[in-house]
Amino acid sequence: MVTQAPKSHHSISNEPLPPPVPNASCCGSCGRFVGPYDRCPYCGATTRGRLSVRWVKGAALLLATLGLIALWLLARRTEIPTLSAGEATGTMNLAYVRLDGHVVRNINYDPGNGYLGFWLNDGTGEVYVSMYRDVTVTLLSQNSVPAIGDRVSVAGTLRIREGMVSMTVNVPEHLILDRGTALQLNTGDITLLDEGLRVQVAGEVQQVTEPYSGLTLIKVADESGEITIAIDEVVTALTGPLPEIAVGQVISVEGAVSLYRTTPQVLPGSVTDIVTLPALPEPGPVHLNALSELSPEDERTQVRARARVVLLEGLPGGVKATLDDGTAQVMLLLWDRIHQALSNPPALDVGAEVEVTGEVKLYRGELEIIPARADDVIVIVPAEPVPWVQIADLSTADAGRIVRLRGLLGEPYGFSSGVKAPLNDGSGRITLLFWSNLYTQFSPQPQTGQEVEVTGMVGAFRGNLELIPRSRYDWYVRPRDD
Amino acid sequence: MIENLLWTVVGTSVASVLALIPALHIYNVAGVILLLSTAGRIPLPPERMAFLFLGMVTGYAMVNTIPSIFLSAPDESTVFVVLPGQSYALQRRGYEAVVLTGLGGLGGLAALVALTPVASRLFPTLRAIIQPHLPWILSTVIAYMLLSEWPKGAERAPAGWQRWWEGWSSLTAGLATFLLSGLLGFVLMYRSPLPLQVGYQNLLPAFVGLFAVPWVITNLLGQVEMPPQHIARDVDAPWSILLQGTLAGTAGGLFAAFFPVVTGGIGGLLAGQATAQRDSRTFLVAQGAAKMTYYVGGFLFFFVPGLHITRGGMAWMVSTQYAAYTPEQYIQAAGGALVGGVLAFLFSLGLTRVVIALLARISYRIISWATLAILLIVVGSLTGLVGLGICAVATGIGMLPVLWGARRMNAMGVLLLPIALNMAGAGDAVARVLGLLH
Repeated sequence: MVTQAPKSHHSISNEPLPPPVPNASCCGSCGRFVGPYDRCPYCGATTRGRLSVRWVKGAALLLATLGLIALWLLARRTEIPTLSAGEATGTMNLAYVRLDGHVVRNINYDPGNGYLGFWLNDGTGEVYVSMYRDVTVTLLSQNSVPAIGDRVSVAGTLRIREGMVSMTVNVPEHLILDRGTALQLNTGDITLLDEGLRVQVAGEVQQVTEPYSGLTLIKVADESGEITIAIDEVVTALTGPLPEIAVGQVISVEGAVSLYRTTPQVLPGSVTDIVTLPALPEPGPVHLNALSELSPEDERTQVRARARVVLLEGLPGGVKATLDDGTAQVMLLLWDRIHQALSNPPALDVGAEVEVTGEVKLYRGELEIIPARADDVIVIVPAEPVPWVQIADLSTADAGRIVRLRGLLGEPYGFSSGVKAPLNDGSGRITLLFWSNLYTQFSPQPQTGQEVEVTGMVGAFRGNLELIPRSRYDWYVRPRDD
Repeated sequence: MIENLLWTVVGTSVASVLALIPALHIYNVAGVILLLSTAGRIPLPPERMAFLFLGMVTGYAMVNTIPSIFLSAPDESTVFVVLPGQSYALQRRGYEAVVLTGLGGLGGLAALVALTPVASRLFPTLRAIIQPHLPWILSTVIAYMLLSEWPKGAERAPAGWQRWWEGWSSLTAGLATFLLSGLLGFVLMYRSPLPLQVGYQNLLPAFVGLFAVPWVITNLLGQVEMPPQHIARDVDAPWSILLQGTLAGTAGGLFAAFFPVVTGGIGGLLAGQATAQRDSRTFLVAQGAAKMTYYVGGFLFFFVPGLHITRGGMAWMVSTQYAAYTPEQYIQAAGGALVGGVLAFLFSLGLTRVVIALLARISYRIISWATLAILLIVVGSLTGLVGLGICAVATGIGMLPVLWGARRMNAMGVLLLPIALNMAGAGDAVARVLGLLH
């Protein structure tokens, strides 16, 4: 196949070639190929019929400059899209997105190369967020390196590898930290249910140990009990050496509650969160507030309010109740761990009267009260059972109404954010929509042929009726022999 | 193992046919497959997908020479094949050009397979050495690319400014192309107006606009008529040319495959100038080897045990579903690429004849218009109206070097400028000045 040209009888190089085909792409003077040029680069002759090239040149310049300016202006007005971990799919790989959530688990930090990483949980899943030296150095200088329990809003390049979602932060400004106010608690009040909560405890140091290099444990006790403060080497690498702490000293520590096996402990995010005190502080009183008194200025303060629940909706990781005390309406946000720890969760529904204590937060312009523990929510008057209805009685005008249905479940099928299944009660059919985070909590899980009782909010999607359960308590499967 | 090999062969066969569609990049086809697989429309286990994509990228790297030579609608990495390749085609020797490029591709594949026993030790070590130096190496590549442009002109204009502009217009166009495409890259990387669901195709409209559409427009403007082609029984190339071309092309392709952002075209340019290529046959062989080592080598890095680098669009897509860890998987991949490459070479011989026969019946202008339509349909269907808008802007930028005689490779500024500045720690500052960080 491969031959040297001079030896080959069949080589194309030995064959006489025809003259170049004359056409509009060749120079009329020397006949050589000039393509789109309006002046022959070989002989300098002006080629005819090339007027259109000037138009193309003009159009190209306009597109390249004005078009780019228009695109740049459009980009400046484009908001970074917010995504939840559960929504991320392989086709979003390398997209620039924003995620909101809480920092969970230990922070990873390599002082050698400046690499910093942490896990972010937004209620629908976990994302590993990482950054390199430039970003880490800036965050350190601004004292805004996240710690466990912090609420973080972060934007960066999404990376999906083998189904694992991670994000690389390229710009320090795109990490917004909300550490919030720590709840003042006695050491003995902290339980398993407080995991992730930011607390402040004060007490006398009972013991300082170093079970292995890189971990310091300080046991602190007050009148109510004792708790361990754990300081990881990453914290000291990021924020400086630990202050001198001796047994018998009184200290105040702020940090997130974490679990070592089943024992709660407090993890400070910075060594500056450990302060030595002359004596134990007295807890301050909390008074009852009217909802109309609350304003954005109250953010991060503790309030107590009594009100009626006028709406209960589901959201990823919990439920949201609208409280109305006759003076104003404010949201009550109950994360799953709080909601499920209530003595009777279904009693907190539309019509219930509650007294709640919690921290005020502003989320997308709306005030929210966020209780830290189940004890902070007292149901004074339980909600009446949601009325039974028949599917045939529902129409799109009922969207937003809370109803209870019973019927036979059809075959569940997945969609991008959860699972849908038809429900037939003999009078008609409706689609049940389970968001993925809620679907996994159901026991038993939805299956074809189940006789179910389901409560939820009526929705309308493209003219079709849907019923959207809000929590695991909205779902009941009747036993076969029931 | 047999099943993986079969999927590779399937991928090669499919890609060999699809590669004939001018300017349709195989990454776009893979993107659609990934989209359908993610949505559960096609049941494709991750490992099978990886080997299917391996076959596709191998087939594409070999057979896309045909449209780049006969239809002049290349992707960025074939930018240097076009001139000698088109010149061959205009001399009725297009078939020979395909064979020469294909032989280079086979040579490149042989080099990749020869590296298999040492790859797992060589490349991780190389990576560890090079990693801290990437910012300045990349800056040097950019500087070389820009500085190696030279003033061109027929020296026919009157002396003075007009003569100066005649010489320097191409240089100015090259610099303007690099800068404008770089700004476009900043906009797309920091604040892309494209929908989130097509994040993995974020740069598709820009690449189609910068590289593919300008070539089609050039074809339409140039009104090229392809002469009847001769099917040669042998090729005019001694072993020394094949060897020189393969070595140069492999070096350039591997450089491009190993370094982030550097593409096959840039690697080919560096290797070509480093080895003082003058002969168009060496050039074609080298480009075949460079293309194969860039596309297939880059993808094979994904399988090298202990290396785990992701280079090239195909590896990025596969990485969302699959990762290879064992030496067996790497050996299977290298073997699959070899089988796929040989198969694709044989396909390319037959497919070239088919294309030549079609060209004798169908007008070149019709093919160019159809190509333009396909490009716009691909961009429009995957990224919508906003994507078409980005494609239009990128076309304007991509036309500058074509119309003013600069290197089209300058349009790689879309990746090189933002990433090099990011590596140097200055990317944020530029993005902030552009108002893209709010």
